[in-house]
Amino acid sequence: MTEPTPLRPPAAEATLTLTAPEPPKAVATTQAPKIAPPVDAAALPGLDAKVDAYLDALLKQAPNSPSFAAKANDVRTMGDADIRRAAETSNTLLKSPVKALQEGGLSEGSTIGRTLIELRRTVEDLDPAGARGSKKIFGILPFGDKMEDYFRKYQSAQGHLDAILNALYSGQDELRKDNAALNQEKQNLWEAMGRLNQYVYIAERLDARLAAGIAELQTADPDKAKAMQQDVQFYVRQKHQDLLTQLAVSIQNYLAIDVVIKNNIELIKGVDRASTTTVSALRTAVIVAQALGNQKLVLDQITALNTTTSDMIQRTSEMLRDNSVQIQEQAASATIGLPQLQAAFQNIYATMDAIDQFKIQALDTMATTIGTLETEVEKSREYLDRVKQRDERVATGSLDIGDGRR
Amino acid sequence: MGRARESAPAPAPLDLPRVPTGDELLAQLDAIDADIADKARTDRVSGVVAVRVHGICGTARDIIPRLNQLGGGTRDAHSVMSTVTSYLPEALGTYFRLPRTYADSRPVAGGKTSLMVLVDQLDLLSVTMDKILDAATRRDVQALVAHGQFLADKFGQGSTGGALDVGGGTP
Repeated sequence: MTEPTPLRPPAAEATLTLTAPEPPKAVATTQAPKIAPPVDAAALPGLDAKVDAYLDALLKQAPNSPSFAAKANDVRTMGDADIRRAAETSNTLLKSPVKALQEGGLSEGSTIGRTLIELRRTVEDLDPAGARGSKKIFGILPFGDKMEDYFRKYQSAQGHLDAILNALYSGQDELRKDNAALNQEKQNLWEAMGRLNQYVYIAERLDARLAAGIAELQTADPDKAKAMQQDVQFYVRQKHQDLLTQLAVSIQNYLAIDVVIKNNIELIKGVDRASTTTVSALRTAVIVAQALGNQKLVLDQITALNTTTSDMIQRTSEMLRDNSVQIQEQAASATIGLPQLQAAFQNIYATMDAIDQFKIQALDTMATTIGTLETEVEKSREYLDRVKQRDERVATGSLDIGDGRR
Repeated sequence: MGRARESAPAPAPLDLPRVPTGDELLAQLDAIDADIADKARTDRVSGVVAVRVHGICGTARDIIPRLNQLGGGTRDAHSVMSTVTSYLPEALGTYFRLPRTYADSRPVAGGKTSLMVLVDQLDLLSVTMDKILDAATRRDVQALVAHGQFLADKFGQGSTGGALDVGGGTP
């Protein structure tokens, strides 16, 4: 009969590395159209036609006539609803990284943060190295009552560990829910940026066509050329700048949301590891308790290990019992022993240290991200303040691309 | 680094949310089931929703007494608990906050109505509960299969010599 192989503790997994994403750099307005979702090639002919129809109609009007003024006004109101909505969204969205920083999983006061501290404390109590009190619980052999006392601690900690593990899983749920909501925001922003970019295209195209038209008119009709320059081209360029600014702000927002999402993903990973290393340490404790003390340690958390493990424990202990001479010494040198239990605890500490390191790193990049975003959002506030003077919420002109929610 | 904190003064113990007992979960399931049955009677919820919710509640009811077999503090146990206390009530609550006609006819996500989105979520919960029930009952199922094997060995055809049985003997 082959000799039964005692169960081995889980192999030491590669060190957990949680990486905080780089904080996004400030987006230059000139770069914005290239970073934002590109205008669909299929939409270009429609946008070109809009510009052509607008210019044709404008050129037919006598300068300074009411109808010319009305047409010129189209440029001033072009995309306003979209810019305003995007600017308002940016303002609101600025709150999400700030909220993530203050109340999210990264903060010490969050459920995850506090639960991890509680886990560390509970685990330190169970640490075979003796976190509190005597440094060497097992310093004196034979183990006797001391060891029974030691493993009894596991049983009394069960309910508390259950609550900790549950709180960690719920914390992960919260992070996942946050991410789902943030992904929705990203989707909305993506669509908004797509629309802004269409207006940027219209503005660029209008500017180019206007410049050419004005050059032609300079000699034939200088008055009209001047009117076109002052009442139309000036506002086209101003609007172009507003659109680019808002587009850059929206991109910045998009990137900031991404940072929050990535941080949450890392944290989910960390919490995952914290719970598995904890359960794995408990599993090792069950085996060590059996092997060393011939003591049955039954823990709810690892009942799920079911027959396979218990059979294994059974066989290990039988093997030990069969070699009835000097049980304790043999047990101490068995494959699963205190060093393995100690290593399992080290895994938990390593995981929690990795999470702590990550938090420091992530809080730092979040602060930078928010700083950049705040500066950018400030720019879009200037626009909001400017347009607040005139309430043009209902104004639509011939350059409106439609389909925008108002 | 981990052990360096030992000397720090111990913070006050964290008041963790209590893990609900099996009885509390069963009571909550009854409440969800009764609410849906009531809404179905008065035509405030579509039959496709009611039947799914009923199915999920039924499976969860079968799992809860076996939660100990899953092991307290395991992911599966947490999933069952959260389905009863959060995932299912939240999915239904969000759906019920929408005007019924709007929810059942207006496409909102990828061409799907809110009703279809809810049905997808319920189906996913249902599949998950089924998987967990499988895991929780696996040991019992294996015991049943093993017992069948034992009975077959003792009393089945194989116990009387199989093809070599000349017949006519007392069983």
